[in-house]
Amino acid sequence: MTGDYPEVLIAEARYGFINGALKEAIVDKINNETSLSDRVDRIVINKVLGLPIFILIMWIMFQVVFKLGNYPVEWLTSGLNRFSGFLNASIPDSLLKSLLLNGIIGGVGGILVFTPKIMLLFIFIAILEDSGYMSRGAFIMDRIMHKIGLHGKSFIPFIIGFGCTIPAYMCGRTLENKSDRMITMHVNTFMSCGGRLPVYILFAGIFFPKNAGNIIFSLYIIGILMAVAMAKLLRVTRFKGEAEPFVMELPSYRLPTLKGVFIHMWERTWQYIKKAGTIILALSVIMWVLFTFPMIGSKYSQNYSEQIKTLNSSYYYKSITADTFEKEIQKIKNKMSVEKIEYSAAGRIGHFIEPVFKPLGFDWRLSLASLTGIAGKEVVVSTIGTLFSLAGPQNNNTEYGSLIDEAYNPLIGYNFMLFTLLYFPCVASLAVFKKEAGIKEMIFQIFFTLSLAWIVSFVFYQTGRWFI
Amino acid sequence: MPKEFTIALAGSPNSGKTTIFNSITGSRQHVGNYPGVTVEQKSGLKKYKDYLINLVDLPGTYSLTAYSMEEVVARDYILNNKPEIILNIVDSSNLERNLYLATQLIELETPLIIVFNMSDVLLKAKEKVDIEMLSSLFGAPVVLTVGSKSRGIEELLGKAVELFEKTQERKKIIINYGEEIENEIYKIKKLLKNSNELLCKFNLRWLAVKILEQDKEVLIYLKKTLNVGEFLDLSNFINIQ
Repeated sequence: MTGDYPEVLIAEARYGFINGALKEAIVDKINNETSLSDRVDRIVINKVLGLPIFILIMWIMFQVVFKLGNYPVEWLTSGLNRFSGFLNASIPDSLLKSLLLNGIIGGVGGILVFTPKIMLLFIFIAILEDSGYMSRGAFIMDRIMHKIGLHGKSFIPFIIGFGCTIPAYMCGRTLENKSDRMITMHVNTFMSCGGRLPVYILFAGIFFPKNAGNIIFSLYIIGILMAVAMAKLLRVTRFKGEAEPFVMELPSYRLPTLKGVFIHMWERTWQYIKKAGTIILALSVIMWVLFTFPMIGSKYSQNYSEQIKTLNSSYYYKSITADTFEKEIQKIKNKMSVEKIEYSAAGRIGHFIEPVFKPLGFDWRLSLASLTGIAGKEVVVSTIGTLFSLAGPQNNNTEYGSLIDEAYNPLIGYNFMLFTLLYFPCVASLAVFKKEAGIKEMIFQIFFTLSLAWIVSFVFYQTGRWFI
Repeated sequence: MPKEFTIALAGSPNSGKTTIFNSITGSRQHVGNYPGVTVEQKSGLKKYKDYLINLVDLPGTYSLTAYSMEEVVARDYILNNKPEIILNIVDSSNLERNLYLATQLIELETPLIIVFNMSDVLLKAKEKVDIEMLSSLFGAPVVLTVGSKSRGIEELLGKAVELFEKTQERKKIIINYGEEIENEIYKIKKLLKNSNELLCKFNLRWLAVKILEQDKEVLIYLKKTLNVGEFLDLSNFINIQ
């Protein structure tokens, strides 16, 4: 609890309910003397200005989160680099070292460095919630939501979904009508959750370094639009009926307390860190095992050791410069690493599923990352981290950005984010979905989001190819 | 034989509750006490079409918490006597404050009619008042009256009979208390789920909200009803807050 007594929160919610109902049904005469809160509302929930203001505030939020959040993320990244560089130099080569550097630090560390940005986003959301503005957002959306056959009440789970989809699914309980609840839950998936954010941060940072904030904002918007469109689709196909009007609570504005904002932010951030330290740690170890075994041994396609020997002797006899020598050796080592991974279980799985993802522009690595994303979207980042840090120069485990940049283009990068956005968030969310809505709806959710993600990414990629 | 049913009038002290009561019953009134307390109970009879309506005037309250004797009496009457219809008389010139009681009656899932009394003032002050929308949002019919001029009383009785005849078709309204409180409500409901007696008598959501409000009467009642282990679980839970 945030220090407020439950009685106070309950009373506030009741007044918010009354205020919302009265605002919806009663139109004041202009020039009436009103309270400050009412005067602010006259602008903020205005029929014309309300939506642009809402979008502007969201846009500012993402700009600040991305730009301001960059600094601490950079510090953490360079700190992590130095740390793994130190470990690399001080531990002799062994399987254990590979597990520590490529598996655990590459996987978990790669996610933890994003914590400052996640924190900033949650601070913003907490301020917007505690000040009472989020309810206004839902109130504004109510009008739009009615057009698609939902009401603004569904928007509250949507907003919570920006943090994590699991509490958002549970929040769907406040919707009494079963059709409304089902539609809200099914499309809640398209709200970019905290787990998807690291994927966006990574890819937007690599492919669109100049306007990463805008790119990420665009994904959030696409998610919302997709939710709107799919809600309409589900309303006219699977869940027929009209949405009844409901009260959109409008609590009075108030100054958020530092303590309240901090507690709200920390609760959610802690969830993120905890997930990284438990589920994702375990998955990173499993992924590492899949990436390492079976070992290639001497079954390389070319005789690399012979090539290295030749290079060594040419260098010895000074027929090539030291510079060329270094480059050539690195090239061979990279080739060897790639073959090593391709030979491993993970590599084989990636290649096996690659044909499905080929039309979307994904190679076997991105295909594999998407597959592991089923466990949780953060895992996408750690998979890619492991893939590229294993393949990269051994002394630079976390700076794999340039490798990814070389391997793909912005179109594929954006398409990958789009695909990540559209399929269901994680296994844990599916478990909650089943609990709240039953197994039938859960299975529908899986196929619905996977096929939608595939179709949208397919169209996007195939169209995009014409322009570049 | 006329059909008989009871209407209870609830509302804040200056909502014009008594005026409405008088203009419905006329002179057929009876003044007594609520059992065990010195709070006055006024009741009266009204013949309307084929119905014989027993009208009970509840003590004037702004809320249904356990802070005052009046509130406890009004609440106990509603919970124990289960009147067929509750009229919540509301002072239209001060809607925000007066509708607080309505939110609690909605939560109790009582068959409710919200009466906007002194509505002439409201209609004059506002550009537009959408009664249909209000009824739909509150999940209860809203009727405009002017008690002092006996305006709207016929419509009010008509609505009461309508509601009495089809009580099961009411729309269920849930007041959303926000993520934190909702989570607590969910946990408390889970704790109480196994207690059959409570399930029959009360709406569990309402009970959970009352527990979170630390309502004295409700806590005393629970202490009597639940077995020791269950009550300990519950009180531990509340103390954590």
